[in-house]
Amino acid sequence: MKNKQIIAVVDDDDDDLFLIQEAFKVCLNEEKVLIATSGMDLLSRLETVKTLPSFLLLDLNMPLMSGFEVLGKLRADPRYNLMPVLIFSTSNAQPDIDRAYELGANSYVKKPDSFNDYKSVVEDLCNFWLRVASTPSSRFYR
Amino acid sequence: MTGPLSILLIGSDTPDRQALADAFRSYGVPHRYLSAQEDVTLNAYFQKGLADALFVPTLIMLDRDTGKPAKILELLKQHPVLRRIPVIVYGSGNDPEQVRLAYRWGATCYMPRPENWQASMAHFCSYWKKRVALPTIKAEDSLSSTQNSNQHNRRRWA
Repeated sequence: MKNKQIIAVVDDDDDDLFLIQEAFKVCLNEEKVLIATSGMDLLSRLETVKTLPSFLLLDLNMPLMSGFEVLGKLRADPRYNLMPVLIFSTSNAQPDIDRAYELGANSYVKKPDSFNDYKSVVEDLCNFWLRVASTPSSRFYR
Repeated sequence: MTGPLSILLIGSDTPDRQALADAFRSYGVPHRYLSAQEDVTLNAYFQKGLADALFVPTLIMLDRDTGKPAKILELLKQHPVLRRIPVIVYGSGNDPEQVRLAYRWGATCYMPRPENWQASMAHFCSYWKKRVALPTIKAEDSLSSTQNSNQHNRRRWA
């Protein structure tokens, strides 16, 4: 039996999480969205899922554990090091962008300013990562 | 809007590669083709003199079936600057083990070869051209860093 695909999102901002979830509702079919509000929350939730998320949307600016630290932990863990990680940040600073790629991010997408833009960005993101690319999400690790 | 997308296509010069190049042309994406038939080709490309480095890619598309992806990704991922460049591996089939292998090599993603490049590239370009912020890759950075690792790479690619 085929498992439902999962998309994971980590963001500490309630407003951003709301916009992301609403945007996903428009473009997802059967995929489930796993929401985490911090890096620690994500790592804890990943322990409970049976398949790797098809991709992870990762905010950078978070208290306690930054997005860069989360990315470093994921890339150092053999259970999660193949999972596509897409940085989703308000930062447009080139050093942040370069650092994200150096640490192994699969791409870097700037957060939009309006809900309409959220919808179109999330639609493009889903069209590429769920319909054009293939990901290692079928890997069972429990 | 993010920085410019410029794509280096690596593989053999097949009709399929030409169809991909045609699709990029129709979407206005700058691209260049590099043959992977000889092991030294890519290494030589990134070690050219600065005056020759007119095309610095911000994305690489690598044909798994003809592009020697494991070797090329190993070379790129060891380089302090070139390792930033996203590398999309594409190939025939969608076998889960082959998909995982591409990610293990360090690919940014694996893309099954579509039946119609033109149609598939619409989604590809909407994402990579409009949404993704790409790394800065300067020719001089690449060259200065390459000089430090020339000895190592010459041994590997000889």
